[in-house]
Amino acid sequence: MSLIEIQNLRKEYSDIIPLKDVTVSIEKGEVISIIGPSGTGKSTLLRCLNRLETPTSGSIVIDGIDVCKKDADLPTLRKKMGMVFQSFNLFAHKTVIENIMMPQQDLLGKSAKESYNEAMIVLSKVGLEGKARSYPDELSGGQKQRVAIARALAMHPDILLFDEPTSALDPTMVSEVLAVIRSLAKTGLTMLIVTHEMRLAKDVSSRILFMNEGMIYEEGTPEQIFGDPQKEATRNFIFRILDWNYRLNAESTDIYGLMGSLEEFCMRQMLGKKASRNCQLAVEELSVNSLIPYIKDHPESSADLFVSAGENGTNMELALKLKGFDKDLDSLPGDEIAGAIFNGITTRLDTEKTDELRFGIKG
Amino acid sequence: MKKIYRSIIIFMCLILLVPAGVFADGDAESEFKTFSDFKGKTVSMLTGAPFEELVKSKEPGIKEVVYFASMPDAVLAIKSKKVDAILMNNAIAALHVNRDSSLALFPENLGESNFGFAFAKGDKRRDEWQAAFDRISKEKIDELWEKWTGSDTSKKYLSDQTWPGKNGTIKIATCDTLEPMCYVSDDGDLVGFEIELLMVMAEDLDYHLEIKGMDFASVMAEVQAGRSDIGCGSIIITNERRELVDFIEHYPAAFVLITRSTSADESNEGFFAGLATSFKRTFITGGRWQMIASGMGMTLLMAVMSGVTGTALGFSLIFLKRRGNKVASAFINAFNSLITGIPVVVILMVFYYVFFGHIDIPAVIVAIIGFSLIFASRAYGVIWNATTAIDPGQREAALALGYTESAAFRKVVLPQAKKLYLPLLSTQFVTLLKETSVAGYITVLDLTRAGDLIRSRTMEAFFPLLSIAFIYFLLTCLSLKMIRRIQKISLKKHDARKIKGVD
Repeated sequence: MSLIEIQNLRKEYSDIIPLKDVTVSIEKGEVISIIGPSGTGKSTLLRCLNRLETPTSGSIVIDGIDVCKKDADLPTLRKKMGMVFQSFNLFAHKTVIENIMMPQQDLLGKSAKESYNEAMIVLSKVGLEGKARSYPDELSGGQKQRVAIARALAMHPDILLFDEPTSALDPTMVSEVLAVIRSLAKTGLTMLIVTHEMRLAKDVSSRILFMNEGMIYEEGTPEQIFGDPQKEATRNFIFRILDWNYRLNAESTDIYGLMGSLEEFCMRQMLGKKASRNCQLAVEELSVNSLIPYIKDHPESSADLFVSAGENGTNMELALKLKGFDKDLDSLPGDEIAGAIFNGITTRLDTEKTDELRFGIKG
Repeated sequence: MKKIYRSIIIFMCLILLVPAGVFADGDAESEFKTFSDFKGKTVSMLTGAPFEELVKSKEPGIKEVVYFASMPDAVLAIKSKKVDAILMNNAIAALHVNRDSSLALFPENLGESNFGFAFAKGDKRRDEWQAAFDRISKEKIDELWEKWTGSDTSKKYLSDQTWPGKNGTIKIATCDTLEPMCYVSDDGDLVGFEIELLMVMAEDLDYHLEIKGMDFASVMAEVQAGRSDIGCGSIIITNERRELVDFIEHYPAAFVLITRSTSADESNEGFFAGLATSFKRTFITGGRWQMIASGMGMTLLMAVMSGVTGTALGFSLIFLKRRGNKVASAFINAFNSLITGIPVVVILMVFYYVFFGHIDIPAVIVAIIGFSLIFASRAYGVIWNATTAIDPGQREAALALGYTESAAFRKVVLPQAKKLYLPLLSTQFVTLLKETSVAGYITVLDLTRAGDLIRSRTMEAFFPLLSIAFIYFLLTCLSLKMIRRIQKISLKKHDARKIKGVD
């Protein structure tokens, strides 16, 4: 029997039906990403699992227990199922360490000492031992979310639910949270992640559920969903969300072709006028003044440009993979004006990869 | 603390601005000579003594008739020229005029009747007491009258009830601001002509008396509600009153008018000397500060008890509301609309005379119950609003961790709502402290009523009133200060470097 069995799950409100009919089973140890357009019931599905929402009909059996029954022991169910929210929801009146200690003491009956030790362990897992005695309002968004993850981990849940964990974050803070989720995905914990971060879904999931119109429209491995989606709506969604990329090398320094392709991408993404202009301007300045002249001088080098945008046209990112460049980008040829323009509309983002540069583009 | 000192100094200055004319002294001759002089004038009387018709029958051109709850209020009004005459009975009026030369009697009577003791309609005990009254000789009654209306104050005391009292205790409701008929002596006892008369009868019948002082208007209500057995307070018998209660007639009475004397505006005493005399009379003479102190204690007792029980009740309402039960919600809404929709003093009187009308509990308990409910409704509103202002995501996060709804509320929502509701709750408490001043309406001897009693004895209107105002002002300032300090301690973010149970 699977760890989670969902049968014909349906959730209705008076004015809207976010979940029409969902049937799926999830095995222990699976990392499931739930993707899909906004308003298609992804979060509702997650919230039904730990019964923050009460389903209208259907059944959810977790570890052999029907959690939709009227007399279901919700606190016990929820103790086994951690949840990380979009808006962090740390307890504002408690310090970081107390946020993590309090539930252990109250709900697991641990002593202060035990829960403190456990809290320090999970804090070190998310890299925030140094913030143990800070209050939530003294932390950045990314740090808050990492604390929220630590708080969930300290309860030693069997299942961890992530409800759009990076959607409320500044672009500059997304990667620190993603890095924590990535590392957790390797530990064998059963995880369900509702996300708009396609790269995360692609990299960490054992299975992807693509939800559309209140149903699981298509499911499969990341390779199937991103490489060869079978259904029309999935294809539209995946290809709309996928990155734009272009390779510049000695054979191809066609700036007009590059700009034309980027312009079309921006249109398909339905980016705003300003976002679209900034995006094209950034790529143009970088390519015309720095990359193309360098590549012309060094025929063995190449540059891959990636542009990605969130679903609603915000959080745009420009990524740059350089090969054969023996100099830092800062010292590449190019005039001061171009540099000033580029810096004015972008912000440098952190990255884990050494051969990659990432920039956020202002919308 | 400096701020408080400054406020006190400003307040003192305001008191000193009170005109010196207040402390007048001189010959006692009425401003008015004939009834027609009252044309266009204002006449006052006590609430519960409705003789508008009587006055108007003498002079239809009277501008208006106004009512006061107690004799000191009426005297205050006539001295400050808010009214021009007070309709009173001869006994009380004579004493006031003798004491205070700025007042004088209007030379003509408005009518004659008798003073009476009131019994509930149809109460059989009236006959028993009537018989006892009939056994008292005419000489004895006149002797008592002389004693209480005369000028020799050394005789004006009552002995203890030393007789066995085998037949039980009789409850007397009396207006306690009507010297010489019934008033509070300097020793704090209820004394006077009517009280002694009742004592004589009680000794004859071998009952003990339990005497309760209150405003005049409350006396009849007390008797009719059956809270007391006999009502007194220089009640003059009229046909209207006969329809409400049964009487024992005990002494001839007349309606007279107290007016200002012709010399009312002249002052022959230095202002500061007057102030010193007033202070002495209000606080020192007869140890009256004790009355003020006990009134203050009563006021604080009511405020603190009601504040504490009201807050506790408010929280109970919150937890009841959170159950999500429809009946409970409807109950809470009805309770809140009732409390907010009815004036405080009316709520108290309904509790005292209706709900607890036939239950023998002290008025102060009824007052505390009433104020607790009033405060509960306000505390509920304040706390509920504060909790709804806390980000609901935190409640969800607590639930998702495995907290029950009520634990999530107690551990996560309430502690954060505290800093929102505490300041509001403390201003509500100060409001409550001031509102307890209406408890006098249900016979509680609080600070305001202590002031009334002192005014009725000193016959001085302004100084006691301002003193009481000053004491209230001090009480509210100090309690606010104290609450702020408590608040500060309870809201202080604990030292983040210290972890409970670990460091």
